[in-house]
Amino acid sequence: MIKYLKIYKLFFKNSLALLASHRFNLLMSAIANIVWTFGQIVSLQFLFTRIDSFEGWSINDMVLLLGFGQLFVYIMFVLYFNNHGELQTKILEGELDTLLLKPVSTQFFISFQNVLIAQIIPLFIAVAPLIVIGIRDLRALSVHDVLFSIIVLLIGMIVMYLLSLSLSGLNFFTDNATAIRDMVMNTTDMSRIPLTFFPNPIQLVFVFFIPLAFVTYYPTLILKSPQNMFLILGLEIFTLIVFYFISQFIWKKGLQRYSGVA
Amino acid sequence: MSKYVFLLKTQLSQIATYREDLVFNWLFKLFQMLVVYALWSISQQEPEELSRLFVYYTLFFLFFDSFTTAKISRWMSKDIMSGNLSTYLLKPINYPITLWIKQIALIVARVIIPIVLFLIFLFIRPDIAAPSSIINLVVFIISTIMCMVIWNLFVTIIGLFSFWINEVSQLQNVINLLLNIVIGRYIPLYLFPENLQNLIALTPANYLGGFQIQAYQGFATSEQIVQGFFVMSIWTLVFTIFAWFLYSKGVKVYEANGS
Repeated sequence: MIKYLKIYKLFFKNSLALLASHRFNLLMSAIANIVWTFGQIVSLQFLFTRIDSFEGWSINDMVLLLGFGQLFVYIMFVLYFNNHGELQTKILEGELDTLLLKPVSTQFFISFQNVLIAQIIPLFIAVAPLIVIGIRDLRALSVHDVLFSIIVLLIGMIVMYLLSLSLSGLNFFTDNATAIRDMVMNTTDMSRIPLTFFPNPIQLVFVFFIPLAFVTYYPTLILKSPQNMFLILGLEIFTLIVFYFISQFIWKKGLQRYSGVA
Repeated sequence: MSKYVFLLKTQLSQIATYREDLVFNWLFKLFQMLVVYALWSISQQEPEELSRLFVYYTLFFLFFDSFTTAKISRWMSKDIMSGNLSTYLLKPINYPITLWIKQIALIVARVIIPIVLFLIFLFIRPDIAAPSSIINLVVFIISTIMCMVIWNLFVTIIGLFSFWINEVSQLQNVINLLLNIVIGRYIPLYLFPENLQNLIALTPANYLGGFQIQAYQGFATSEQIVQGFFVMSIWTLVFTIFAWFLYSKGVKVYEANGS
């Protein structure tokens, strides 16, 4: 574990050095994130001038839902999204051979090699305001609810990481894996709408197949009103176990199938 | 001319090689469309209002979102930054036209299936999807072509800034996101307050989808249509002159070395 933390520290340092050489892009990226958040808040406020509530959700609830969605998106970008996207190139150009020879987990290296430090800034300038606005008018929150919401969010993020890992592992079998992964992960947009708005089959998709509900809907719902902790955590842990085994199976079979080209 | 036709064919076959990417792109657009439609459908009570909203977002996401890609500025920036522009300048072809053809190939590939899908929808539900009249359809088609010209001139201008600014990709992102607020992507353009609509009507933003859809659905008056074509022509002229100016200045300051 300590070995991996040390390696991650090295990844972070390298990424920081790289970031310094793209200052203009960093500034523009920060502005882009603020503009996006501003655009979303404006459109929600405009929508709520025409309606009183969205299926029982107030504007602040919707902002909080958006905030959790964005929190997940930026953390995913900082940690692993682009790295998983580069697996295809690594396979095609034979770079993976070098990684396979290293005395560390290949999945760890593939997932965390580059840290997108630039995306940490939006967490403060774009996501934090959304969450602050979102929780402003909520009922009196107990420590229990806040902790419960954070735990559900954290486990949900691990589940989504495993989903991304599984989908990127498909690169060992098909050339289109990255496009499939991008499309699946881009469904995050859908999480801006409360889950109950969708028909039941789509709700099931967002709980069991693309479990976005655990990073957006449920954390918000827990803060909005008291929820059955065992049911949500039970569902989430079940999904976590299933995705863990799926990801390990895909990678095991994929690496067996892989033949080096370097 | 034949060399550009050849380039177009080559580009189309190249894009066709990655047709799965196109399918995923369409599916992604469909998701986006459903999200915004779902959001705004709550605020619309009458069936006619819902139909109008549905056609608005269908046309917006399946067509106009495909037309307005920023690839030209990215290609241009990459070529200028990497020095690859030199290889184009040595060839008997016009560099900006080459990029425009690449862009046209991409647009054609992206809109073929949406057109087919929309025609099927039109056949099944003409009461919802049909244009309000033949004239409105003609206005829609011509203004859509002008939308592509205006947009591509605009992104060419952004790309040309690469002669002076190191990286323009994030600048392009910021501009796109700002535009998204006013072109009717987050909020349907026809729901904007009237004063704001009148103001936007004088800018190119109005002609990146909103105006065309209004015309298609028969909600644009003849006065608005005439004004629209006039404003679009002015912007096309302004952007063409500015792009030409930047390109001629940029090529003069451009330096490259290597093999």
